[in-house]
Amino acid sequence: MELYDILTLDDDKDYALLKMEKIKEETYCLLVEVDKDENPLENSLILRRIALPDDTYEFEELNEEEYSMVSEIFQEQLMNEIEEEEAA
Amino acid sequence: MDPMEKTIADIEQMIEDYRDNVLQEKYANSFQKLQEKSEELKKRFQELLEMQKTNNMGNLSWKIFRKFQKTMSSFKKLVFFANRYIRKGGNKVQAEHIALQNKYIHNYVMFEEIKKQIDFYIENGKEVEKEFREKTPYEDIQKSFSKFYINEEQVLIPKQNVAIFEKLVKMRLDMQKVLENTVKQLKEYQEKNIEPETEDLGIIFPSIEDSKSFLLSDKEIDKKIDVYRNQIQDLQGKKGKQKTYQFKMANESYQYVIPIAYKGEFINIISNMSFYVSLKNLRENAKKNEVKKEVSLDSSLLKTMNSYQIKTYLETLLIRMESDKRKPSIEVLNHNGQRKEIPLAYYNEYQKVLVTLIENIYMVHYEDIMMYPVEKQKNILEETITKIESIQMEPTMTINGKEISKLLAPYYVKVLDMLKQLSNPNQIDFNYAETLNSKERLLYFTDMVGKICRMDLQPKLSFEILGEKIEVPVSHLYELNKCKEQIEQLMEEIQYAIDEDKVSNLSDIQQYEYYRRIIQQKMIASKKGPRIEVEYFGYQISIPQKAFESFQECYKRMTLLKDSIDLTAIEEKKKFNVKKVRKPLKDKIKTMSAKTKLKIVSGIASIGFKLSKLSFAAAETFARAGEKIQEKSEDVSITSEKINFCSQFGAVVIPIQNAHVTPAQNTLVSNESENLSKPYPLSESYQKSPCTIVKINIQMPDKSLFSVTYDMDYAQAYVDELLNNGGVIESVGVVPELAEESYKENPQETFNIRLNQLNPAGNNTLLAQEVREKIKENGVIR
Repeated sequence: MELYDILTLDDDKDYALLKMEKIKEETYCLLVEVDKDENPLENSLILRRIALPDDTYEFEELNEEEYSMVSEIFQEQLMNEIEEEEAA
Repeated sequence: MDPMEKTIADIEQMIEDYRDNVLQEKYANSFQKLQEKSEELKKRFQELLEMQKTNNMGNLSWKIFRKFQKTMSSFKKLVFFANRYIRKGGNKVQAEHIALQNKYIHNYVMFEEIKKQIDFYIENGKEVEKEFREKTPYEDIQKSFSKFYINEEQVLIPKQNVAIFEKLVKMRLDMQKVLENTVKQLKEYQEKNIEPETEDLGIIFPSIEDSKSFLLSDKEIDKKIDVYRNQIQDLQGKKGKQKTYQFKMANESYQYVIPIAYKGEFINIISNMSFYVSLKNLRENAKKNEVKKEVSLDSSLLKTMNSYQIKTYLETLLIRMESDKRKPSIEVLNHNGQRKEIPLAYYNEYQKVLVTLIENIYMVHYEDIMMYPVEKQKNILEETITKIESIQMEPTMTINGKEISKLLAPYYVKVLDMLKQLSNPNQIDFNYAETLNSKERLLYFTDMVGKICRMDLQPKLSFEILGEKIEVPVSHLYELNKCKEQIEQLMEEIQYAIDEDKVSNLSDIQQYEYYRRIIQQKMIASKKGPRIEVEYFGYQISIPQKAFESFQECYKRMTLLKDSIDLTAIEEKKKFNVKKVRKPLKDKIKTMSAKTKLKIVSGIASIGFKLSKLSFAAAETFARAGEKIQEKSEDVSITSEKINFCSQFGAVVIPIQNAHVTPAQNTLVSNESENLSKPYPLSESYQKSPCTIVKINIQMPDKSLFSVTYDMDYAQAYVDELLNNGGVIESVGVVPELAEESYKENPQETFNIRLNQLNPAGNNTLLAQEVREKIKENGVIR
């Protein structure tokens, strides 16, 4: 699973993996839904990635507290990235 | 008795048997007997024929012979049909039905036979009367004949035949009743038992699809059962000869009517279904019988207590569990070695409390005493040894010649080892280290390195450990290298280790989740070092060899916890499985900027609305176009093209509460966008017309831009919220009052005014306030 891969989840929607970060020993992913014609953006999710015994993964919803913590970290990281991009 | 009379009597008796016992009741179960009887009758029949030849038999004997012949014929038919039916797999109900049919045939034949005999006597009467009248015309006929009415017709029977005639008439009436009754029974059989046929499949034994099925949640089990129900419903909808199947599944009786052709498929479905129904029943029964736990160890409390309070608290918990008399119960050993009976449901909790209590009383942790001077360490250890030796707790074992409680033996041995280690401080004791857990072992070896470094020995050299350079005596290089090896190994091991401090603050359910994550996120996911295969709830998984010890502990604790927690509570979090992973089809996605991502993250996290109906490409283009315009890109044609493309999507965001908040509207605040948003030049009268504000573009401190459209009830609230959160009004979108109607039809035709352009000398914040005042004065404008 790499960044920008398109994942089909069991809600039968396709998501692009836009961001994947290990925070406090957990891996969190930012997923954005891509419609079947690969365009319209319908839904965005921040989920926990869990490795399964058979070398595949599943994603799990976060609780409120975790959600705000992760999104805050993501925002901070992205702001730094923007700064870096702008500086470059 | 005359031999012939005896034979007749025997035959009559056999016919009685045949009718009463064989035909009517025991028919289905006594074919062999029936066949034997048939053979016997055949034999008697031959005897009768012989007798008939040698004796001049009268009418009655002849009639019996006829009756006998018919009976034989019925027997043959009966045996033939019944045998054929049983061979074809028929059951008792059907065999009885055939018996009934044959009984009818037999009785009917008898009935006809009697009728013939009656007719014979009537005809005979007529002949005798004619003869009588010819012979003695004046004789009184009443004296020699009796008068009968058969079917409303008068018949005269000679006096010598009256007895037998009366008997025959009576027999015929009886037989008529029997026939009527048999017909009635036949009808009942046909109605009740024959259509539809019912087959009893007996008890359906559950078949397990795979062992993982045991791990399914209650909801998943319900889903499985529903799937099988639907499959049965599909079968019920199929055409063909139907049959009723009844069966027992998990102690309940079921009945379904399905086409006979699908019997095999049906049995497969119900066997699979039976597993899940049984599992569900088991769980429901377990829940019903479960003792509701009222006592549980609150580990977080322990941290706030001193050792005396801890002891009292834990002992109280034990007593509360011991005094609970609910069944089923189990016998346990308490910390004083006494046998106690507690509810089975408390077993895990009791052991947990007991171990915690013992640990708190007798366990000496290396990290707790290592900071004390050696003498004090020794004192603490010696005190503990004396304390353990003084406890008289059965059962015991002999250690160093002392009787020590088995329960306390591990602590005793450990404390003895610690004491031994203390008396030989600079010697690395690998045997002792083996008795410590990973964390303690790491502390021990690190402490050892410290001790060696502090030794006043020369010469010294530079030694690197965990990326740090330290000065160490050359004489102890061997020991130091051993320590270094151990420390590096332990550092790896420790990442898989359970953080007991963390665990002590977690609820059961959180602990279970914590152990699950260590196994799934750390052990399975790790790519380091050699691996080992282990079993994990029916799965075969591969983990690093170094994680094995911790895995066993995690798995053991999970197994214990599993019984006491509601696993479905863990599963409540929505899970998504990855069905398919593929490379992005368009590189465009790969180039999404951090800015766009930030907008998405801040969008879903803080503002609480979700992007909708916005194309991926458009989102990206939006952001890029905005960036370019801000950079005052000269490539206007491309930017305009992109903006045109974006504008197809209109106001792209629908917030949860329906207000139109649009991120990334930077395009519309530029010169280009102003042009674009004016599809036709405004006439002078339009320009002079008072303006209505239709939207406000607000820039947030993180530079993200939001556009609030004033056609919703909550627009004002959103503006206020954004401004209160440090937003600055960047520009306003206006339409001349004259163009309001046209705007309603085409909301893109907005005249955007950049505030600093309106009043270049003014400062942005003040202008924003001005606009805000204006908005507030006018209330919600549209």
